[in-house]
Amino acid sequence: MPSNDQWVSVNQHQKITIEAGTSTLVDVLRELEIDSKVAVAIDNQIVTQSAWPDTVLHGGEQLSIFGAIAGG
Amino acid sequence: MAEALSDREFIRYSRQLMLDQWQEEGQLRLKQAKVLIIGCGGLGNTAASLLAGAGVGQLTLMDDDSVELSNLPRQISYEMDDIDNAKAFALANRLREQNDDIEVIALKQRFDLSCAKHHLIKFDLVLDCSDNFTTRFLLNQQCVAAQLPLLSASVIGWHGQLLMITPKTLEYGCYQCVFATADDQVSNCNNSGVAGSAVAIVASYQANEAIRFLLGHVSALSQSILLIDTLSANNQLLQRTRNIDCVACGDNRSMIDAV
Repeated sequence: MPSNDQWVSVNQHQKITIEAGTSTLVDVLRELEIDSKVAVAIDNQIVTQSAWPDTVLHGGEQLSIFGAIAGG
Repeated sequence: MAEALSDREFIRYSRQLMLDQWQEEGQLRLKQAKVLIIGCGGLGNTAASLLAGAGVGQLTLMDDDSVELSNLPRQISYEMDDIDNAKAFALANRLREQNDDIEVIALKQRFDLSCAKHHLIKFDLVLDCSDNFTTRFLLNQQCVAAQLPLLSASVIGWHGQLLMITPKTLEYGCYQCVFATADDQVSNCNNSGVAGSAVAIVASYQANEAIRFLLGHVSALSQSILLIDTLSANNQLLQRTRNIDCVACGDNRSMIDAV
C-alpha cells in the first residue's frame, strides 16, 4: 500500500512530514510544539485560527508561522 | 476641498507636488487630513516626522511616557535635554519646528477605553505605533467600532509587521483576525531588543502607506499583512481573511460596539 506521507515547508527552512489528506494545521503546530499564539498562512494566504482544525494539508504547501510583535 | 496652497507651501512641497500620484490636489487632501498617532516611541518619532514634513494638516500625538536615555538610539527626534520630559510634548515641539504650516496636538495620556470615547472621532486615519498588545487589541477593536481606518505597525529586533484595517475593506478582517491572541511577555523592545535602523525602515513604510492612503490611493495592505525582514531584505505579503467569529469585527461584535 503506497504511503501517504508528504512534506510541507515551514518558514522556508524547515520541512515537516504530514499524512496527505488527513493532517491538519493543528497537527502540524502540535508536532512543532507551537502554541496557539501565532498566525499561520498557507501559500501566502492567512488561515484564521478558527479554521485551523478543518484545514487539511495535501503536501507541497508552504506554511508561514509567525507571532504578533508589539514593539513600537 | 480646502483653500489653495500658499506660495510658501508651493515652494516647501514643490518636489512632492511633481509626482503624478501627488500633485496639488493631493497636497490639499493632506492639508485637510487629521491623523492620530498612538505612541511616540521609535515608530511614532519617524512616522510623525515624515507626515509633518509631507504636510499632513493636523497631527495628534498620544503617549503617557517620558523620554529615557535608552530611547535615544531609535527615537530620533529626542535629544539629551528631552530626558524626563513627556514624549508627546517633546515630539510635538520638534514637529512644530519642522513645519509651522501644520497643527500639532499633544496628549500626555495612555490610550484606554475612556479616552477612546473622547478621541476616536473626526480622524481620517489612526496610526498604531504603540508598544504593547493591550493597546494594540483595544485600538483595533475601537477603530473597527468607530469605523476609523487604522494603520498598524510594530517592530522588534530586525523585524516588522504592517497592516491596514479600513471600514471599506473589512471583508479582509482586522488585526485580531490575524492575531487572535498574543503575549506581552514574549515580544517587546524591552525584553528582546530592537535595531534603530529597523525601526526607521518600518516607520517609513508606515508613513509611506499613510500618505498614499490620504492621497486617495488603494493600498495592498488593506487586505494583507506585510512582514518586514531587514536581515534578509526578504519581505513577505500575506493575504488576510476575515474571521466571522472575531471579537472585534466578527458577526457577534455588538458587545464591543456598545462600549
